[in-house]
Amino acid sequence: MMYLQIALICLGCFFFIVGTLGLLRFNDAYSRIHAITKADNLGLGLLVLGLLPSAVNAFQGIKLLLIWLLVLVASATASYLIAHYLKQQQEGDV
Amino acid sequence: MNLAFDVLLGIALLLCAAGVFYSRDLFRAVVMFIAFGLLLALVWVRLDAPDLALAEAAIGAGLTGVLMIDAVAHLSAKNAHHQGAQFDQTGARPQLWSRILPVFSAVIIFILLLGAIWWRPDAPVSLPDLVAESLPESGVEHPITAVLLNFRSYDTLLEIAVLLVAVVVAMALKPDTSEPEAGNSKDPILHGLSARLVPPMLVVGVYILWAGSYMPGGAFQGGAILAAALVFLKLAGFGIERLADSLLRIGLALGFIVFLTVATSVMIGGRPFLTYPESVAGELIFFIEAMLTFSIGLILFSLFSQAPPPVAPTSSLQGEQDER
Repeated sequence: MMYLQIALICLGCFFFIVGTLGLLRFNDAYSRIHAITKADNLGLGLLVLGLLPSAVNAFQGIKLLLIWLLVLVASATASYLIAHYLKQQQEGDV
Repeated sequence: MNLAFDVLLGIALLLCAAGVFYSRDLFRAVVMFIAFGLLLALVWVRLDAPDLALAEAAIGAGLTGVLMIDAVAHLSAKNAHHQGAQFDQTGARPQLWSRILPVFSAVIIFILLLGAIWWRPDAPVSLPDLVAESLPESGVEHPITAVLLNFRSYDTLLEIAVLLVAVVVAMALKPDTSEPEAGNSKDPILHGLSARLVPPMLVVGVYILWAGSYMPGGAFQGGAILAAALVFLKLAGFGIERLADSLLRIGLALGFIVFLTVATSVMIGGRPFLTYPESVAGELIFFIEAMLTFSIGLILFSLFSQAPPPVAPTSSLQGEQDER
């Protein structure tokens, strides 16, 4: 069980690193959003999954899952808003 | 392992602080400041001060970040309005003395702080022990709440008074323009998200207020979350700030009024100012805290909503990211 947890958390960290790398290296805002959402959604999800077996009781586990869910919703909306705003601006320029 | 994490955290904190000061772009500086606040919250967690961490994350990073982003949006909108030029600060080179003076005073303060740490007097009484000793008399189980609302409630009373004065000044400075039209950023997705997210935010705010009597939490943290929910609603295009103007003013002052009323009414029973009868101390503290939470939430929100509407509605997008 512990090895599984370690593997999950390492994989989650990998996604965070890759997402951050993409955020820093991509030169287009849309690609950056694409990169960072991987870190938020998949990376954090894997971290939460990896931490779940260590939860002391059910409430802690539910809280962990809830954090993931809230971040999912918030990051999806924030990414949408950024992209939407960008699109509007570009259309305004043309 | 923990030491390595702490060192990394400290370095990241310093880098963020440097980023705030040295970035040319104001918006970047504000984003760095928000990151700095979140890292600082982590530092407080590492220092075993979850109360401060909650307050820092909610007020220092979240709400102050929203206010600053709003201010930057105003600045850039104003500049674009006036000259059609990008906002930049590279205009005038600062004078030499204006650089030497801050460096000089910073060095002096640094030396004084070092000296204060070096020649630290032995504490005559151990304050944590003192608090733990008299905790049963305070009416609450969490030592921080006991200190803030009972042993040192004078400070909290002044804090809420300062907040009230600040918001009164902000309201007085508001230009008497026409009301901003509601729903200028009525985005269906943002609208739907806020409709689903605000009820849990309110529940969390009340939970944190309630938790304050036996674990980390309390009026300021709960109030900040309440304010965040209100800011969120406003950004999503619900015209809530116009719903009840006179009620809002009462609500702003309610916390301070209740606090002061309780503080003075105990004097009728012959007690000194701001001491609660032990039998009802817990109930009184909770009552005061509930009113404080309500008022702090409204005050923090009003500081945001009383700002004049931006020339171009650019702030609605950026502020949303801080809600998580």
